[in-house]
Amino acid sequence: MNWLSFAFMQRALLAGLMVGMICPVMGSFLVLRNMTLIADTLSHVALAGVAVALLIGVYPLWGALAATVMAAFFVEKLRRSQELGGDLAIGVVLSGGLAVGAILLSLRNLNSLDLFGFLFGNILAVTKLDLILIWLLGGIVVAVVWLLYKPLLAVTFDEEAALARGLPVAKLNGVLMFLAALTVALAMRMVGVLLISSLMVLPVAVGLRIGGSFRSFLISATAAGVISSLAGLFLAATLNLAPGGSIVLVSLGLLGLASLKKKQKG
Amino acid sequence: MTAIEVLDLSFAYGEKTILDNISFTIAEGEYVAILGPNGSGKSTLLRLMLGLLEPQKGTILLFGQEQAGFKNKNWIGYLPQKANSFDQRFPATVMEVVGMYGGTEEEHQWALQQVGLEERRHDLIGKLSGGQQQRALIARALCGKPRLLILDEPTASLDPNTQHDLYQLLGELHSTLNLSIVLVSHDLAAVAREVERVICLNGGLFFHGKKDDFFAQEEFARLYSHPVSWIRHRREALS
Repeated sequence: MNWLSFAFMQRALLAGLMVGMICPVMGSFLVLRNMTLIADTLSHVALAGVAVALLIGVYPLWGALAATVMAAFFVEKLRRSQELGGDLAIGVVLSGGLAVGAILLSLRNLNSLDLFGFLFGNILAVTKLDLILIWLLGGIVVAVVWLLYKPLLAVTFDEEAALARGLPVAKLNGVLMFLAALTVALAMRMVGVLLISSLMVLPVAVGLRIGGSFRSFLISATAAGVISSLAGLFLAATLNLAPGGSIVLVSLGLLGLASLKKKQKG
Repeated sequence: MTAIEVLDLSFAYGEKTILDNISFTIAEGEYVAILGPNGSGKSTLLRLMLGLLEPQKGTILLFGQEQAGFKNKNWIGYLPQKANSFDQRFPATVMEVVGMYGGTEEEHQWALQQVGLEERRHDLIGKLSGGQQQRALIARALCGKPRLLILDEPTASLDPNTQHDLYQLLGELHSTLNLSIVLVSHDLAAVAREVERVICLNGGLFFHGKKDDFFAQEEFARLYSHPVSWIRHRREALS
C-alpha cells in the first residue's frame, strides 16, 4: 500500500471516486434511452477538443469540455431534425470528431506515451486542477440528476407521454446531453477516450441485473462504477497497467458476478 | 361543459392531406371511439389534441381553452400504444411508474386501487403482463385526477379476455369518476359494446354521432371500402 502515499495516486483515487459515480449515473439514462453510442461519440469528439487545446496551448480539459458540450447540442439538434435522425446523426458526429482529432494530433507530433494516455487513460495525468474540476463539475452532474430525478425518469421511460403531460422534454433532453458531455470530458483523463463508454455501460448492465426498482438500479450501477474505478486503479498502480483497461476489466468481472447471481435467483 | 372542441381542423404531412377541415365536439363525461382505416388520421388527430403536433389550420379547444395555451395538462391522461411506449427491461417498479409525474403516496395508492394493481406495486413494470402494464399506465394517468383519458389502441396485442377486462375497467372509470374517454380502436365489436359515440375518419370526418346510428346504417362497411363483418361478443362468453 506504499503507493497510497504518493500524491498522484491520491489524486487518481479521488478522481476515480467521482468519475466512477457519474459515469454510471449518466450511462443509466443513456442506456435506457438506447443512446449508448452518444458516449462513444462524445469521447471521440473530446479527443478532437484535446488536440485543439494542445495546438493552441490551452489546458486540455477545457478543450475537451468545449468540444463535448458543442457536440452534445449538435447531436441533439441533428437527432431532432427530420433529415438526419437517431443513430445516423450520432455516427456522423462520431466519425467527424475522430477524424479531426486524428489529424490535429498528428500535426502536434504527440509522443506515443502521451497519445496512449489520452486513448486508454493515465493515472499520472490527473493534476490538481483536474481533480478540482472533476469534483466541482461532477458534483453539478450529481446534483442536477438528484433535483431532476423524476422528470428525467419520466422522459426516459416514455418521451411522448411525458410531452403530452406537459414536461419540458426538449429542455430535459438538452440538460441530459449537457451532463453527458461534462461526464465524458471529466472521465477522459482517467479511463481514456476509447474506454469511457465502457464505464458508462458496464456498471449499468450490472445495475440492470441487480436492481429491483429504478432507485436500487441506479444505486447498484453507481456502486459498480465506483468499485470498478477504485479497484481498477489499484490494479493499474500495483501491476503497472493502463488504468482504463483495468477499470473496464473489473467492471466486466462485476457484470459476470451479477449475471451469475441473477442466474442463481432464477 | 365541452371536453374537446375541434373547429375546421386540417393537417397534412407534406403534400398528403390527412385531416381536411374537420369539426366536432366531445362533451365532458362522454365515451367516444375514433375509428378509421390505417392512415386515416386517427393517431394524428390524437397527437393534435394532445399538443404533440400543431394544427396547420383550425383550432382545438380543451375544456374551453385553446390547446396551445392549455395549462392543466394533468386534466388529460394519455396512454400511447403500449408496444412503442417503453422498453420492457426498464427497471422501474409499478409504484415508481405511477408516481413519476408527481402526486402523493396516498394518490398513488388510490390510483393503483382503481385499476386493481395494489398487490403488484413493488413489482418491476416489465414483469407484468401486457394488460397489467396498461392498467399501471392508466393508474399513472389517474394520479393527476384527469377529466379526460385519451388512449391510442389500448388493447392492441392483448388477448380477448384481457381486452375484455381492460374495457370493463375503462367502463367503470367512465361511470364512477365521470371520466371522458377518447380511444382509438380497430376493435369494432368492443366499440359497439362499450362507447357512446363514434368519430370515423377517412381523409376527412366520415361520421360523427351515436354509435347505434353508425352500426345500424352499416356506415362502417363503407368506411373500410369493402364489406366488414363484426361480431358482438357476449360478455358472459368472455368472462
